[in-house]
Amino acid sequence: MKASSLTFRLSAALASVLLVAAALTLVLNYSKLRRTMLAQEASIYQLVTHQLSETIEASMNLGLALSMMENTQALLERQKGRDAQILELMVHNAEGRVLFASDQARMNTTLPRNWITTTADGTGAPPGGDGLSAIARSDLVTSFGQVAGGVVLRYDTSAAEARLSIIFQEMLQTAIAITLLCVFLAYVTALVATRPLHAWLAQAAGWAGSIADGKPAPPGAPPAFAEAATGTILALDEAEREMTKLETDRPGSV
Amino acid sequence: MRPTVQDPSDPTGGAAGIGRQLTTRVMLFTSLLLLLLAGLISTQALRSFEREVVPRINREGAVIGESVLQHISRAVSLGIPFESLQGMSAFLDTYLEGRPAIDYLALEAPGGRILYMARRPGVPPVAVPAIGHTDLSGAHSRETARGFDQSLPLEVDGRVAGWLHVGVNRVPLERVASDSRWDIAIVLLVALLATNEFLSFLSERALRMPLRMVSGSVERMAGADWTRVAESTNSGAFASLLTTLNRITEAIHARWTALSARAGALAGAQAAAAAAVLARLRAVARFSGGALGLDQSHRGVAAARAPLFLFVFGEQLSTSFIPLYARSLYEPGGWLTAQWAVGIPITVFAAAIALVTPRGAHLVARWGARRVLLIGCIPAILGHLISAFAISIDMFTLGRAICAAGYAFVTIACQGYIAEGAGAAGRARNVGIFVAAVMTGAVCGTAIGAVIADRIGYSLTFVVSAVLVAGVALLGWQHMDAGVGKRAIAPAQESEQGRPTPWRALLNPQFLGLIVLAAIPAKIVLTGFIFYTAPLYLYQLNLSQSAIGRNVMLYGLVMLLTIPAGAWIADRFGRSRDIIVAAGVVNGLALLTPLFIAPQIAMPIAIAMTGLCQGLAAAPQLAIVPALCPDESQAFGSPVLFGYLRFAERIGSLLAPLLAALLVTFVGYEGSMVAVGILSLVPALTFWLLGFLSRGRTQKEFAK
Repeated sequence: MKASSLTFRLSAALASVLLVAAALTLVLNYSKLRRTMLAQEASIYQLVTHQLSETIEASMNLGLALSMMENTQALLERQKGRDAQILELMVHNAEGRVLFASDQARMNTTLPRNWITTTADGTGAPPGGDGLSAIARSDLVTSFGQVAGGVVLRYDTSAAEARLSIIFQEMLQTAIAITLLCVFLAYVTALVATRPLHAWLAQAAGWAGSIADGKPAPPGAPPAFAEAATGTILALDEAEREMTKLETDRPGSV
Repeated sequence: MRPTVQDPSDPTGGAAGIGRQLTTRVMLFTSLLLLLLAGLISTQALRSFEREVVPRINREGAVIGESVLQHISRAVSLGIPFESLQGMSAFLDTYLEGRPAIDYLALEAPGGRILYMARRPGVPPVAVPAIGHTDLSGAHSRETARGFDQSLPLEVDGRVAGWLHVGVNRVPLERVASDSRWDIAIVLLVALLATNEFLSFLSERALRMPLRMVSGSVERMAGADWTRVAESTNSGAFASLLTTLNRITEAIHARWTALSARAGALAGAQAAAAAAVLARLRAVARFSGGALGLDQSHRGVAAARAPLFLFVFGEQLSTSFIPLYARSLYEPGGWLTAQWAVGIPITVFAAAIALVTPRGAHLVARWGARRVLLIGCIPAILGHLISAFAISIDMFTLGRAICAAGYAFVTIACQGYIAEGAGAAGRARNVGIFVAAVMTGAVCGTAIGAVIADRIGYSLTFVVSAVLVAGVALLGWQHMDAGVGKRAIAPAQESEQGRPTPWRALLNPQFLGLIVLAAIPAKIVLTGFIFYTAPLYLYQLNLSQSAIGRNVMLYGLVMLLTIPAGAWIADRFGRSRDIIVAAGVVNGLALLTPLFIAPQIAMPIAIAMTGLCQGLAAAPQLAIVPALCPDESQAFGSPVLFGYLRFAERIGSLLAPLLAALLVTFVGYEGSMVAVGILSLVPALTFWLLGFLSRGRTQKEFAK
């Protein structure tokens, strides 16, 4: 029956609303979790770079030039050895040239600008990096308040990303199951809610069809409507008879 | 008497009731389903939070502990006895600074005695769970009343010489969980409001409009009017019924046309007799002389309401962070200070709307509302995209100006469509529909925009706005009637030199008082405080972007609820002036709250009270106009005076950010709020005094 298209449309609209709400809830929750987890990792490595810069600054305050601090290399290597997630550690001068690095290939290279001037991007996500790694950094400041360089730490985020991917799949599966349940309930709601309307439409189709087919108006038809329609049809019948008579009476007609 | 569709004995009357019942039930069930859906998904997400975030908080505690131990180990390995370390508490204190997740740091000597300890002030003391012996190795984590205790061994020459305890609290976790719960509540609120809007749209298109077509047809036919048929509908449930009803009219029309032709073929006495037959028929029913007409009286305004809601929704996504975004783009060194530069995009936006709106109204009259809406979507999309990819505050200001042009075109097109859609009879009710759509869109957009920006950043939120505007264009193109809003521009309208100039209404001190003492201060409070000062101040108070959005949203939410209340009070009691004065005074006092209450509490109060006062005063400000200047209303018409009022409001919106920037620069955020509060309070009292001094006129107001 065509009336069912209303149920379908209503169900489809409710399903769309539920899908959008589910998607929005899922994405917002997941992005919050992702942001929090990555921010916590960033906070940990920020702490590590801060501690390293404090140690180096203590030596600088004794009057040693940054490039002359030979024990810095060992300090970086020791720190890297403690945590498998640390990919590399570097100390650079004010121009961004690497003076010490856990990865020897980095020595004397110039670091990308976004590695040495990292700022938050509004999402709180760790800045820099290539998607599988992120950057934490800390300035090296002399006792005169001059920025002499910085400590840059690149750490692996692939483990966190892999964990986040699993969490997202779990959350997605749950969301799909709940949404399907809700969509089914929405369909039942639409089916039940439109039933009185379907009944009325069936009744209306009955009396309207009856009058359209030239039959007498059945009970249930609006009285004034039935009266006006029947009255007009009877008046037309009468007028047609009179017209036929006039045509027959016309001079020259057979 | 002709039967009407409201007659309970009439099946069509029953259908109207069934339609209303259906919409209510569906809305109720959908709300419950949305609650269930968001509740269950969020519960699982919160569990994941707990499971994933706790180990990371502990790890952060361990890293801090390792750093502390490094220093202590060095001192102990140099031969300083563990019990004689100097300045340890001060040293440990430095590690608590800026780390709200750490409650305490404590050093335990062999035997379980706590030798040194630094505790966060203001935190309830928690007993440090001492290890008590030294034959354990590695780090240990145990739960405490406020979180976790991380115990790290202090190893000297390969043996455990003591333990460092790091007290990690659950504050970050709880803050994230609380933020998430609020965000979910916002998502639910927005989903419910948006669902209501779209269900209204859907039920209008699929249910109410076809029902109006059916009831209109039945009512017309019950009056024996066979001159018109209903428009065809693609709503399957009603299409066949309408086809059947149209078939009745078409059959009768065909018989009438045939009779007319037969009568026309007769001549002489027969022709006169045939004419008498047709006249008798016309006495019974109405017939069309030519082709059947098309009944268009069923058309409603929902076709414009949904695009308007979606457009305002998209536009307001950025409300809570525009000053913050502008500040992030600001580069020192120019001739403007940061505070001024941040206010410029808001001012330019208001100015562009004021400039473009009159042109938009003219274009609606010429081209129709739909075409202007579609044109308006182009600058709106472009403006959002320029804002998204802006690299300087100048570029951002340009983007906002272009956006404002789109905003002006789209809102005036929808306003025109809604006002014209149902004819003069329903115009006042339709203006209410326009305001409701704008306010609902504003509440939803502001709230969810902050949450989205918190997750994906400011730039991408503007991209989302652009996508939503594209959706608006699609909705408008699909569902709005092209002809609505078009008017023939009469030459007489262009030349009215003979008539007195409407600006003379400004010479009426009461009307001028309303403009200067009520309308402009209200907009200064709205734009200066809500759109400029509030986001910046809340950011300074260290609130997250989501929390800033929640606070700013309060304004729209409260206003949405109080606009009808203000209109009702003004209609019921006619005390428009008193409401305007009370709103100005209360709003002014609300802005003084930071002087007496902590700003974290004062800000939501001030924002909500601003929404309350502005909502209550919105309708009375318009309702009072004819009473304040009856002669001018008679001479020029109320809409002309409303136009002056609106123009004055735009001047207020334009000045407000600059004024707020000036105040913030010189007296800070709290001082700025107090100053804006006084700017609301003093004019409101002056407006009351103005009324008091001209009580004769006020009597007229009451009489009205």
